[in-house]
Order: sequence, then structure tokens, then C-alpha cells
Amino acid sequence: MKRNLKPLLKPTSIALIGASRDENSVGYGILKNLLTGCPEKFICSDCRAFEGNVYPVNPKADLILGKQCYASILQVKASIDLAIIAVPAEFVQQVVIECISKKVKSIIIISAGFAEVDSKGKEMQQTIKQLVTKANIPTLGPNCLGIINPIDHVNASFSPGMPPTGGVTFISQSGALADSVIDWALEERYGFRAIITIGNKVDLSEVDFIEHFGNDPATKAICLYVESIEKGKEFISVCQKVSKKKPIIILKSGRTEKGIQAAGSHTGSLAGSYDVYKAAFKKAGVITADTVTELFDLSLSLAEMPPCDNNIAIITNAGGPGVLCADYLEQEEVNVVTLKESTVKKLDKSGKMHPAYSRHNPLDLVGDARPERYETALKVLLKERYISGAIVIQTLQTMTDPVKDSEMIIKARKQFPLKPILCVYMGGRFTKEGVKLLQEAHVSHFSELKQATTCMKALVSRKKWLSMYVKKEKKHILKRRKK
Amino acid sequence: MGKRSMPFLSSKETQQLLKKQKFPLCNTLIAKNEQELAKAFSQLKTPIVLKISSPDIIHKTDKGYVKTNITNLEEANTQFHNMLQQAKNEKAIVEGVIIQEHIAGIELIIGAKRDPQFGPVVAIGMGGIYVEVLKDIQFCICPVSVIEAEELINSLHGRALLEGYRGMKKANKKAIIDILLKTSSLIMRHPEILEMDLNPLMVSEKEALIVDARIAVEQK
Repeated sequence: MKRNLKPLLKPTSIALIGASRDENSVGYGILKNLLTGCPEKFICSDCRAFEGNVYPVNPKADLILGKQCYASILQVKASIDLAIIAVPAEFVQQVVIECISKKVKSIIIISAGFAEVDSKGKEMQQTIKQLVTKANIPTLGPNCLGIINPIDHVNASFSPGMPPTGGVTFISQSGALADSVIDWALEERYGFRAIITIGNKVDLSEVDFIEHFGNDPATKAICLYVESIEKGKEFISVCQKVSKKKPIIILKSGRTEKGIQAAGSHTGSLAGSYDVYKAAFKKAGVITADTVTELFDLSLSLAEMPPCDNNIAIITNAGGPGVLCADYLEQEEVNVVTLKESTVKKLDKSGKMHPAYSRHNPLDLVGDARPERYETALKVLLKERYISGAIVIQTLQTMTDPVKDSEMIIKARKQFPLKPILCVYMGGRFTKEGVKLLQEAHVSHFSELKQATTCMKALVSRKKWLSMYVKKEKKHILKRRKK
Repeated sequence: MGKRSMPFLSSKETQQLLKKQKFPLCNTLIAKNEQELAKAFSQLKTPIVLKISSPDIIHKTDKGYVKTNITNLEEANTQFHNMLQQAKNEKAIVEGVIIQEHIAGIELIIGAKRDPQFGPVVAIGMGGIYVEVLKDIQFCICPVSVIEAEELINSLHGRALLEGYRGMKKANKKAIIDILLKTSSLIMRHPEILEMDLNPLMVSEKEALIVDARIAVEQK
């Protein structure tokens, strides 16, 4: 069922119940994040202040951070798009009742102490569920970090700040994970469209957000960290629809948990819960990641790069890494294409290749490769119809020019927009500038070869999955016509 | 061997249900006494296999309830009586002894279960009784399509064995796909089925035959 999440994600007025003067409290942290985008000690150029009206609610204070306080939300005259509740668990129910009375359009319950703690907490959560369901107010949490929306300038959370803007939407069942991701993103310049922490899922779940961001043009890829999925069938059907439009990548924990099985059939005892989740993700067209790094590597490359057919070239100025790369691709069943005679002739004819260049794929340009050699290799190889994408490897020698190499790669991406190029600049300090150029041009870069090969495999798999679906739908249409 | 903790259909009910749904079953006869055993023996080609038919006995091979390579009636009689005595000692409910021809081929297991979150799930695995060790098993959420069934088979680690390995002929994949689709339909159309195993499923170049099956149903 579609819910209206606009007031939650792009509010114009926010009430914070539980705002506090104590600088080390959650109630203070959220207020500061709303007003400036981030905590005082983490100020940086990515922080954005909320542009709408903020109404702190605290019966014991008159003024916090220069904002007038209200004794209760019922005393606020203006209409409220989003009510954030950060009071102790035992007071949440009463506040929720007041919010319903006030007819707020959405609620985030930050407070912990519910179903994750004990049976009393579970009961309290159940009561809240009944209240918000009856009132039909979309509610996030409880026990969550909140929402960080850098594109719309809303930090409705107690996170350590706001990440740079980008096209990846991250939905997380762990607030702490989202926190650390933000700090990492600021350093790595990894952009997000939005970060949503779902907490105990009293009302809204990952399914609601996958559906919403599936329809959001600013989202290029959706990634998730989940521990459990309750609405399994709905999850599959929503993901199947959304996966056709944009990639969904998921990292699931709780893999070695063994379900308690009554002594039954072989099948019953062999189907561990993670096996079933894997099958569900496959059915839904969702891509699985094994680590946090992989989750974000896959999300970025699937957001930035076009999916492609299974015919990949490796262009490198180092033999060893080239072979390693080919090894990893072959392990993933990615086709390391054999270069045709005609292609090699074109490379020879260019006059730019080293006399000892490899003449096969991986294309080893030799260690003294200057940008022109990369340029030629990219132009000749990507022009071929039988080559669908490339991994470009660069190691640093005295004559290597990472910045100009990046310019060549960026040019090639523009020339061949349907062919992905994944880059691996093996280095650190003196490759930084070249890497920065790639990042700014939205060309995926990795420091480890295996990251690039994993992402190339994902691009190839996605193309295969998409064409299977188009085939299925074409078949279905033909079947209907025949009738 | 487990006590009855999940209600399984009897051999007869299982055979009937699967036959009705046109699952390919290996010719299976059941004998409750020596006369029936002799009659069955005369109808089949040797070597034959004897198995106990009991809802209480799940892991038949482990406990010596499967006797293969029987080539004459005397041997059949001996094993028949031994099996019944053993079952009696273990206080298992016995429906009789199953007699089948020995079927050659690659051993697979196909099954289904109902997952609380995702609904019915179909599984296919290699190895029959070794499946729990090899764990070469793939799952698909129902409904299973032809393409998904193909992919399930192609995702098995041991798939090379089905492609014609070391002089063996290529297995009839179409027959396996058919059983996968039928299993998916069966569990979807019968909400009372909790779990089911078609194990072993013997696959050859010609056909795929279900040699044994267990279907657990909800007790009313």
C-alpha cells in the first residue's frame, strides 16, 4: 500500500518533542542538526541548514539554540509536517496521542526501549502501532537514528553530520552503521540522495521506502542493510517492480542463524533461513553484497555506470595486475574477451603502442604508458562492437600522468556512454588528484582490483537480468496477441 | 530415525497424490506378506530393491532399511523378514515393504517447504543421501518458471555430472525441469502441504524417476 512519505522526507515544518539544553543529549543533537545540518564539532562544507520552521517542544525550557520552546505540540499554532519524538520510552505514547490530536503529517520516534528490549517494551510498541495505524500517520522507528536528506537539506537525526549529495539512497536497519557511513562518505566524497534508518519498524518498513525511492528521479540506486524482513511477499513484489527501473543492492546480516526445525523432511532441515533470503533476493532481482564496502562499491558503480553485455577488456600499464584482474573476472564467470586480429591491427596502425605491448586481452600498454596510449587503447577497443566494457588499471611510474589519464578516461566515457569503464589506480598519495577527477566526473574508481571485478560482474549480471525481463514481457505480450 | 513429529502421508497416499499430478514415479509395489512379495518379485526385473514403508522411519538407509542388489526370491524373503522384525523391535508403524527395480542414474533430491516470510520454496540438490554433507542445493521461491528451473539446475556445483561426464550420457534436463514446475504447482495449490521431499530422484538420459517421496501435511 502506497503511503504519502513527502511530509516525512521533505517537510516544511518540523516539531522536535524532547528538545534539550543538555549539549550531550539526543534532544540537543537533533535540534542542532536541524538548524545547521551537523554538530558543532563536525562542521564542514557539506552541512546544510533546514530551510523550514523548527518548533522545539520542552515544557522546562523557554529558549534552546535561539529557538522559542513550546510546552507541548498542542501549543504550536502552525501545521506540522513532521514530529520527531525523542523523549524517554514511557512518555512516547502520550506524545504520540498529542501528535495525532495535532494532526501532524508524519512521525519519527527516535526513542529506544521498545520491542528490542523486553516484553513490556513490545507491548508499548504494539500500542503505538495501533494508534498510528488508526490515525494513518506514517511513522518511522522507534529506536532509530532518524533521516538524513542532504538533497532537500534535512538532517532529522542525531547523526555526526550530513554526507555529500549524490544518487544513492541508503536504507538501514542499523542507525550506528548509518552514522559511521556518513563520516566515511565525507572523507571518500561518496554522495547520497538520502539515508533512512528504519529502527523497529512499528509502521514504515524497508518495503515502503523501496517503493517510494523507486519512484524518485533523484535516486539512481537503492542500497539496504537489513537484519530481518517481515513482509516477505510484499518485499519481493515491490522489489521486482523497482528493480526494472533501478538497481537494489542488499547486505543482510544474521546468516549463520539456524532455524529451529521440527524433525521433518530433508528439504525442511536443509533450507537455512539465509538460503531462503538469498532465493528471495534472486527472485526480486536484488543484488547481494557480502560486506559494507561491497554494498557501497556496488551501489555507486550500478548508479553511475550502464549495465553491459558479458565482453570485457582490461587495459593496464602493468602486466601483473592485469593478470590478477583477468583471474578475478574469470572466477566470476565474466568473459575476458579475446581480441580479434583486426583490433590488434588497428592498435598497431595507431603508432602509439609500445613495440612489446601485449597484443591480447589483458591489453598491457607497458609501464611507460603515457596518456596518449590509454587514449588510443580506449578508443580502439571500445569502438569494437564485440567489446562491451573495460577495466582500466594504472600503476605509477616516473612518466605516468594520473590527471591526464583520468581526462582520457572521462573523454572515453562521454564518447561511449553505453560502455562502463571501471578504474583501478593502484597507489595513494600521488594518484589522489587523478582519482578526484574521476570521482567528480562520476567514473567509478577502486583502489583494489577485486572491487572493480565484483562491480563489473554486477553490471554484467544486471544487464542479463534486465534483458531476461524484457524477453519475458515480450513473450507474455506475444502470447496474449496469439490468443 | 525420528519419532513422528510431523505428520506425513502414507506411502499409498503419497503415490496416489503424485500419480494424480502426473509426477513420473518408478514402478513401486508393496508387500505385507510372503505371497505378495513373491507376486511382486515376479513382476519386476532383477536386481530389485527392498525398502521399509513406515511413516516413522525417515532415514531408511542409515538403519539398514534399504536392501539393494537382490537377485533372487530367497534373498528377498530373508531381507523382507529381517526388515519387518527390526521395525517391530523399534516399535515403528509399518505399512509393508516396498519392492522396486534398481534404477540407474544420477541421484538428485527435489523438495519444497513453506517459509513463514516468503511462502512456498522449491529446492533441488545433488547427491540423494549425501546432500546433507555436500550441501549442493539451490532454492527458488514459488512460483518457479521454466527459466528459473533451468537456472536452478545450472547453478548446482555438480551440474557437470548432468552434462555427460566421463562417458555417462547427458541427463534429461527437460524431465527435471518438469518435476520442478510440478512441485511448485503442487505446493502452491495445496496449502495443507507443509513440506515435501522427492528423494531420491534418479535421472538418466531417458527420463527422471521418483524412487521415494515424503509429503508432510497439516493435521486438522
